Amino acid sequence: MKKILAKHKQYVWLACYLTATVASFFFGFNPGKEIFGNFTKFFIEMVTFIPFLFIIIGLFDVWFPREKN
Amino acid sequence: MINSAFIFIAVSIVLSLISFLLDREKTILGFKKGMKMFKGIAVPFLNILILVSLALYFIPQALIIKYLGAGSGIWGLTIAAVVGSITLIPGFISYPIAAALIKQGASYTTVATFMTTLMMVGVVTFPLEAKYLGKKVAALRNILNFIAAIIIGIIVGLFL
Repeated sequence: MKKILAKHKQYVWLACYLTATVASFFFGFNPGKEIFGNFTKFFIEMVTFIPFLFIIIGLFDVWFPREKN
Repeated sequence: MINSAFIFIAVSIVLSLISFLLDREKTILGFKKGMKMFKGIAVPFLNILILVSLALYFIPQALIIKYLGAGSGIWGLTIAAVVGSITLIPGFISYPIAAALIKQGASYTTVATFMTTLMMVGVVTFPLEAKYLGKKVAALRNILNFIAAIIIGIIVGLFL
């Protein structure tokens, strides 16, 4: 059990948040809805360019390889 | 915001196309590399977004204006510089945080100082830095950058 938890440690926070959000909408808990509103705003802003950012970083890495010591 | 995103997407598509025409295999390798890095950062990044949206809800706007706003003066600068020196956040995750702070009434001076110390001053990473560069260099670099960050913040404030 501990091992599994350690392996997926980074997902725990995400899972808690998702559960809380679903519960907020289910029970009509307003603060939860508002926090989700903030989150979606950020998420949409970020998701529109971060994948492309990484494509460029990847391409850059291939065309201009880092010097190997 | 949407417009700049469009320009950015267009530029990356054009660059990808050029790269693809020049060397198909290299491009695919680059895509794979980029996506691998993206996967690595995605979950920590989502966690930060959750944290920021929670903080945005629980920290009242009045509090941010009082301590980090235009009237916060030397104390706002000090808070921003010290918090930025201690916290360890990758550069591009700091942008949504900075945007949120500005939206909530923080001044450009404090946000600029925060971001600069965030990237240039590392208290937590100091032992590691000292191991590679020596204590003297690391200390000098961190102290000078701390001062520089405050000056940068003040200058940014003068222009905006």
